[in-house]
Amino acid sequence: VTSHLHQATLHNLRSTRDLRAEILSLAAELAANRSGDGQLRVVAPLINEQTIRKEWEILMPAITPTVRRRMTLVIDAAEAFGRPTVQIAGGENPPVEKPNYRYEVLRLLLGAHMEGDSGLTSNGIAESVGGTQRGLIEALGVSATPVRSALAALRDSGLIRNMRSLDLTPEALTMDLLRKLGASPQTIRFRFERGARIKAPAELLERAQSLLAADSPPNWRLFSLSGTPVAQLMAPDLDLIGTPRLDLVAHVPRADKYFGGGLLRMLDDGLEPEPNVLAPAPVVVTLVRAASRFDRPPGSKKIRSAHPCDVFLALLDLGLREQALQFARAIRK
Amino acid sequence: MTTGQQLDAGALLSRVAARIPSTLRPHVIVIGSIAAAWAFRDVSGTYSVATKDIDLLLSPSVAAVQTAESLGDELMDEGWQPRYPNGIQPGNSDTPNDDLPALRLSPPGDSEHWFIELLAEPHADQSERRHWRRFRTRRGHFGLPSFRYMLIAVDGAEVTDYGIRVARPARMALAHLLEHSDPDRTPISSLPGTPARFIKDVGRAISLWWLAREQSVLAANAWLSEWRATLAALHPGRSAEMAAAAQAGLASATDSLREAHAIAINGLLAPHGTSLDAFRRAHAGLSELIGDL
Repeated sequence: VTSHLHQATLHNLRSTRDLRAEILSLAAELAANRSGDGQLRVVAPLINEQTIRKEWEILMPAITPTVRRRMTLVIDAAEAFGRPTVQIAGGENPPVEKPNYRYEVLRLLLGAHMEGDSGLTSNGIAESVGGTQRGLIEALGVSATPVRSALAALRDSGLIRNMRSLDLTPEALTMDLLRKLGASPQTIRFRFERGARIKAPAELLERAQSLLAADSPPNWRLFSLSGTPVAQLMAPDLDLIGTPRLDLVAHVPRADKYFGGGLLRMLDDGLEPEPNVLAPAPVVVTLVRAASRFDRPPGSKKIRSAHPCDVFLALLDLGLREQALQFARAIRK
Repeated sequence: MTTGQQLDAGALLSRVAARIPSTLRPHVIVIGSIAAAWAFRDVSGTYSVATKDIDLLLSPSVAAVQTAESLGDELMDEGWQPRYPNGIQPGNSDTPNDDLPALRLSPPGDSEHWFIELLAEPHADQSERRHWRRFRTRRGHFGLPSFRYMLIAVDGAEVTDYGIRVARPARMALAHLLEHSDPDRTPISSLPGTPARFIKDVGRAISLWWLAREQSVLAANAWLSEWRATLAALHPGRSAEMAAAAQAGLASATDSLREAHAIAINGLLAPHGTSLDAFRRAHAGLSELIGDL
């Protein structure tokens, strides 16, 4: 996680000359400060996004590697529909940690196990991974090293038998174990800012459904619905009532260093990142960094839903382990 | 608008409509804060609104004077009382149009301290900001104001079960923004600090957008559709020009958002306690939306 963010913002950018000047200015600032990353935000540019990215790429080789590695470009503009609200307050785009491959590997193995004979196998995790290290490497889109390292940790903890027998059962999992193993999901929690109207999770769910439908805004396509509503839908006999919070899964590319918290403003303008990990949060976003997605796309009347393994992990995080296990059993039938 | 007690938009619409002769109801369109409260009645806390005046726009423009005369006399015969908040009394044939008072009428008994105010739909070619037309009642002569972008405000007005129509928020917001592409700096003496008119009106547009997003996460699409339909109907081929004008109107309040927010929070946003930060975000979001027009 970045210790300090040097941020520069360009509103209504009109020329590459201004862009170049701002890139160099940010680079100079970073060169003078050895700690922290730099982010250039281009908000509502009046020139083409491709032009901006091309200019960025042209200029990067001219900047010393120790500086340019710390620089990121964020463009808040392009979508014609439902663009993220322009960020005003600091801290709207929380930094995200590097991908946690222990979690990512565990998640895929759990997913493959849960698919079992459930009929989810076509193009599912089990089919893609095939119970092999190579399958994991391809699904995650990474080199062999982090996958082997993660598998070794899972083996040492007893979650898998060895590096070749890659079956992981839901019954073996608790949040406490995941924490001890360093395999907790990466989550970003949101709260209602002061003065905002507090909405019940059921109301937030209703609003989220509009953003997760087939005709959803393009910049919400990284999200899937997770948690209790999906569990109830997939396993109606589950011992669950109501929606304690809204759980979303966000598929965030591995290289991303910041999460576009402004996207949650589309769900509700009053939502802001909750810095206190112990405080109850009405909205929890779990980040998935794997290259391949296994969520279920929206159908004609359905919304985009997370894979059952993500739903299982969300229930665990909610402290609903019994219901999570019930859900896993129901899914495998 | 004067801040005051919380009024229930639905109940008011029902009562106002009941008093208007059925033959005149198709010619009456409710605009302003009651129209907004009605549109956002499903957003928690907004069924009521802090206002005293109910703006009734008479349509079509060519019949507005005749409608005003019929409606004014009929209501006054039923005991509705004219109000003269600025001390300007009804005129006579010697009174210049611009010196005539607007007709504001309180219901019989005036127990609820609200009143209606009559406005006219503008002629399509009205270019001045406000135009006064004279109409005659048995109490004397009154003025019927029309504002140049009111045709946009009332385009596609919602037909209610009460028999009167109600203007839609997206169009009202657009009309406000267009009106102040050239900001009206006339001070509003009835508000603390006597802010310029454009600050209040542009703030109203921002408030409508904030409420629309509270109501629906897909408000952007709905507003764009409404704007495009209205501009295509009323200003064909001039969308880009109108979008630029609306953007200029919105930009006029950029340096006055704190003031605009202070007015809004005592009016349309009163039930919500919308923060200044949220209001600023709504301003930025509305600007992006106009950019998509």
